Amino acid sequence: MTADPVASLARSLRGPRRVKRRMLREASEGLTDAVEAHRAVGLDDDAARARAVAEFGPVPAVRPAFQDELDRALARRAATVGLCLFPLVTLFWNVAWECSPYPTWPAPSAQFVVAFAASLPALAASLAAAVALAATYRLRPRGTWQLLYRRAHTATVLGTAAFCVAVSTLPATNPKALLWPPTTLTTLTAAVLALLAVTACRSSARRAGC
Amino acid sequence: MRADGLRGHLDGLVLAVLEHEPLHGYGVIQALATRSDGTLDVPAGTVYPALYRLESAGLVTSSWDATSGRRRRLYRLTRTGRRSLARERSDWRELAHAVDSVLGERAT
Repeated sequence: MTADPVASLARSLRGPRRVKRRMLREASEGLTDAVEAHRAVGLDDDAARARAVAEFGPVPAVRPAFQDELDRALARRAATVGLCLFPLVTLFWNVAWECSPYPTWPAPSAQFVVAFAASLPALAASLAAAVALAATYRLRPRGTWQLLYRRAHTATVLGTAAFCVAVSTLPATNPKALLWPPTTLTTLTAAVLALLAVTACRSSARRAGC
Repeated sequence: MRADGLRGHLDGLVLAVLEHEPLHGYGVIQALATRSDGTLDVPAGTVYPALYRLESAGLVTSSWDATSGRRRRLYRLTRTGRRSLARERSDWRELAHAVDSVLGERAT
């Protein structure tokens, strides 16, 4: 019985599930097509399967091609999250601080400085994420382009951390301010972003064997 | 030709076999083997990620096809894909000419 290369790939690949499932399904369909084609020219089941698996290539040789696409999909996801950071910080700033029915404005100078300082790395992360996102659409990213999209996770994590710091200045000014629905929503979004960024980073670190 | 010699050219090769007709994943693999008279030894497993990459980049598009009784993805070239193929061809001609002028035998 010939081993199933698609099952081996499914066990060893790491990355976004939807992309992994899509590529492996294609590979599995192709393998079935290959077996049928070899049967049609007279090979028995075992020989047809063995030839199809040989044509597929050894798992260690084809795995990097699949993993590269998963890495790219992961970078695209992290960069998209990062790209949302600055508009969210701006929204948070305007809505939560200036429109809240709970008195938070004018903000005490310490909180103002912290929130303003934290929005700068969030802006930088958003810009880096936009460029990283563009890099993932290049067919063969090399040099700086490759470096950019391989660092998309780092930029997003740093940006998200900065955003969380900016958000935390609000309850530090007036804990009740978090109870206003628009502020609650912004804060929850920040938490989800932070979670996504950390998950993407953990997945990336696991892949790198860290 | 071995797979490592093809590194960097697989995307162009896949675009080329899709130029005149839409194909399934395995159809692409068969077309690569047929059009090169079996010379291009591309591991079939590397073609599926390449198709995904080309689709993500907007160079090919896919739709479901069930004409053979089983639902499979049918890939076709987009307009952007045709432009990219033209660029790949021109880059390849340039490279082939340069390599040939160095590596090719010279009449002395």
